[in-house]
Amino acid sequence: MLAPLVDRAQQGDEEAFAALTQAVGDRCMAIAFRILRDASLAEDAVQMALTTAWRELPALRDHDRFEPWLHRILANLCYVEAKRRRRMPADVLAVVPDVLHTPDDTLTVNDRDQLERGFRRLPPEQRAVLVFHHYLGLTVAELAEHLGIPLGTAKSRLRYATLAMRGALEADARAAGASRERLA
Amino acid sequence: MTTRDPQQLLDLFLEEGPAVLPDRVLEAVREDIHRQRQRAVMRPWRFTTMRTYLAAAAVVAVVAIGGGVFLATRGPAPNVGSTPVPSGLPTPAEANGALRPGVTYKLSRMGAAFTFEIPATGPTMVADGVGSRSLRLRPTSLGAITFHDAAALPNNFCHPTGVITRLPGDVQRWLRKGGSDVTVSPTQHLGSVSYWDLTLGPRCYSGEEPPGQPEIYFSAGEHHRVFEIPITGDVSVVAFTWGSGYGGEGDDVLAQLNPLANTLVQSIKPYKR
Repeated sequence: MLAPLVDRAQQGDEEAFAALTQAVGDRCMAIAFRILRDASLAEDAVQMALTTAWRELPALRDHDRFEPWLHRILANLCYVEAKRRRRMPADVLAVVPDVLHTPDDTLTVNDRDQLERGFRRLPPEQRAVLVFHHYLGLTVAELAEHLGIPLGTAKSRLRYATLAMRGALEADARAAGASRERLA
Repeated sequence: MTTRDPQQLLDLFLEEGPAVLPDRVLEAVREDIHRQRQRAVMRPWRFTTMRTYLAAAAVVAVVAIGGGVFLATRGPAPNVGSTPVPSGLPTPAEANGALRPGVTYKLSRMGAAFTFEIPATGPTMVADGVGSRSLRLRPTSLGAITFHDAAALPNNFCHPTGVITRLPGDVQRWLRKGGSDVTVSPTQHLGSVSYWDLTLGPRCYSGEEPPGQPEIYFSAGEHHRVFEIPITGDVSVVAFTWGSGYGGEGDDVLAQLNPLANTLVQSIKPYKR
């Protein structure tokens, strides 16, 4: 659906490109936020990505691949933002009592804290594969294309990221359990 | 303590958060693209359709895009400061004395604010999409200088790994592949730094094709100062002033930008081995 707009934008049609940004901007924002965990950084990354895409668009050969190509640009810029802001304040997490009997389709505050902490510990490249896989629902092969990485790299990143998240959840759970035991 | 499936928790976690791009960002993108030209692709059918190229020639404001990224020869990443300084806060500084990796400096010499940052360590990617360790000098409205050591350039979406071994002859030859017309000054020196002034003629606009070759974004009438800054025995930083003297900027900008570039280049010297 985007190909005609890409074609026009590739020829310098600013209105067509604006329409493209309307079409893909929300998804870019969602991706960037989920990688960076910061709305302001995400907006910056998306703006840079879209501007870069405009500049580089003449080099895009397959118009149907616009969105994967854009996502690759975006992911790279997210890596930059994430690394640049690594010195930003670390996690500030409160100890929150567990909430028992939580419905399966909601997160407890404690879940969210654990996940946020675990996610932020991941390198941005691993965050990206989780976002593309779990949020966008892409297969490993698809996310490899979107991220511009070899399939094997995508697989290993996904594996490590998943293990790391699982480990973070388990470690936090163990810590919470030990804390309760000490208090008892 | 949660006992639910981590995969399910992760799915739920990633569902949360904003999924709408604010209108102000879309508007900012519109403004950005209106100011920026698209890069040229060396295909015959492109030359006749690059409307933005024609538009760019008439734009008064600086189009701070693209850049040259080259490495004198491949080699280890240059040691431009062994201990990253853990501060990203802007530091009031003129470009003299030691510059420290990881610090953002502000320059107030010109009317527009300049900032530049020396990344701490490792590869990074600057806003123009160039992956490298880099030093950027970016005025907000008057042009830009970008420094790249390019020692670890990824062959990423737009900027390739490229090796240019002889400056500026290679630049000149490469530009001419695209039908460009470049005049290069005799070699000049700032200590051990060599530099050349490039003047681009009326046919000069160059992108890159195919992927994998170095690229520079130039327009007719631009003037550039190109620096080659030896860092180690086999690695040099190549620095381009950027976007000066074309599209109505005039030589007044060039006259300010080049001395500033000279000062910056000299300030890098402490990092040479």
